[in-house]
Amino acid sequence: MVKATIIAVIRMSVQLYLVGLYLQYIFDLNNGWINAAWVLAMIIIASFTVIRRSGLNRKLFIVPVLFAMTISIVFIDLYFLGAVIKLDYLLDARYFIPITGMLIGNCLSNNIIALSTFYKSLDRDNTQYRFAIANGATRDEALKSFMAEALKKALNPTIATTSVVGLISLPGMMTGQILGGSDPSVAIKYQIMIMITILVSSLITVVLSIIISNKFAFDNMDMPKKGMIK
Amino acid sequence: MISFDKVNIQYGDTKVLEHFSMQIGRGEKVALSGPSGSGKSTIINAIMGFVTASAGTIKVNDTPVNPENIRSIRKNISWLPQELSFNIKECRRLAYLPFEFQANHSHKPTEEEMNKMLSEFLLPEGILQRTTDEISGGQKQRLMLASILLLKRPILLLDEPTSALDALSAKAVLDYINKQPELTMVSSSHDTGWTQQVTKVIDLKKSSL
Repeated sequence: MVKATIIAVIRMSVQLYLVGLYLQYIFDLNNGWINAAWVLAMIIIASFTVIRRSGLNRKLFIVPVLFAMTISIVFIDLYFLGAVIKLDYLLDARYFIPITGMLIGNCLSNNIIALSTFYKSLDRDNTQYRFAIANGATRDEALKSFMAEALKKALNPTIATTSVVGLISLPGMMTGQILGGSDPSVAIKYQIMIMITILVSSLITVVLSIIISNKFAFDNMDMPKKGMIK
Repeated sequence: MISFDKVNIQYGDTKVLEHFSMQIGRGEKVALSGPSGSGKSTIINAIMGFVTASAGTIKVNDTPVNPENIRSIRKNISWLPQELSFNIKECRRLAYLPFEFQANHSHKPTEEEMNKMLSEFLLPEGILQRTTDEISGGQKQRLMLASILLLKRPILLLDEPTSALDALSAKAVLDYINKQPELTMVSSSHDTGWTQQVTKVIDLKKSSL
């Protein structure tokens, strides 16, 4: 335990130090193509992580998950960086990379819970799905209760965190801004905006991931494909 | 109405049905009998398109069961599985579940129609106010059967319908089904009481492998 803790702390320090050096370089360069490539790499790594951690078949699910995460991140970035922060240059490394990174991190954990809950409960309660399909439901109707369960499990932690922010915890971004010399009222405004953005982006990613992956996970008789779950 | 013509179905390397043929006419009440693994449930699943034949033809109302036709075929069928482990706890919700689907909205029964059907199957008054934990497996099976019969579809598929029923309840269910001349029923059953009262028994031990 002591050894594992020491290794974890050393790893974290080295990783963050290297990322710091890299980010400094990226920020100085501030090239839109490189920034976009960096974010795309983060989305690809996140998508593979979602598939691996949710125990799903990589071949079947990587395209829909990658697609869903990319769409939701692009959409949220356009809204947050363009309409809320009103950046002149949307791909400005100083905003684009850390904010997108924060969104991807949250979407990742929500998506793991959502996809894992959805497909594992579909596998477990397959009879309920078949009963619905056999007795008049469309595929979407038959999957409604599975979708509801997945959304509830995936978003409950984020909703709970959102509801107690400021009471039992001060978020890292806000604390960082205050320590960096920002006025608390400005830091709070940023924090409110980012919390809402995280909640919305998580919701969009989770819903899109389930909807898009459904197009790949069923055969032409509306039956779940074999080998969906590893 | 339902036909299997030289159908092969296998799970991996295991052949469940090989060159299997059968004909079921409109209004027949059929029991598929045979030992475990003889393919009774597989036949029912194949009619619904839950499993696919590797050879041969399955037809419902002269329409081949395939991806193009399966949705229209399913509109003529109601199906009750043997395993009823649904994540729904309220009996009322469970009874009205099939009517939540848009295709069945027009068939949604009134409270009176539902209660009449439930009493046909010897279910106690007030069962809709209970939770599924408060009723027996047999009551749940009859509740769901009553519900899907109210869909008034021409074909009824039942997978081991008496697995949780006592003799009296099973008789009540079969009496009701036998009183529906237009209804075609295909069931899988180990129960000799049930197989003795249907109009046709297909013995899979003889017909299949």
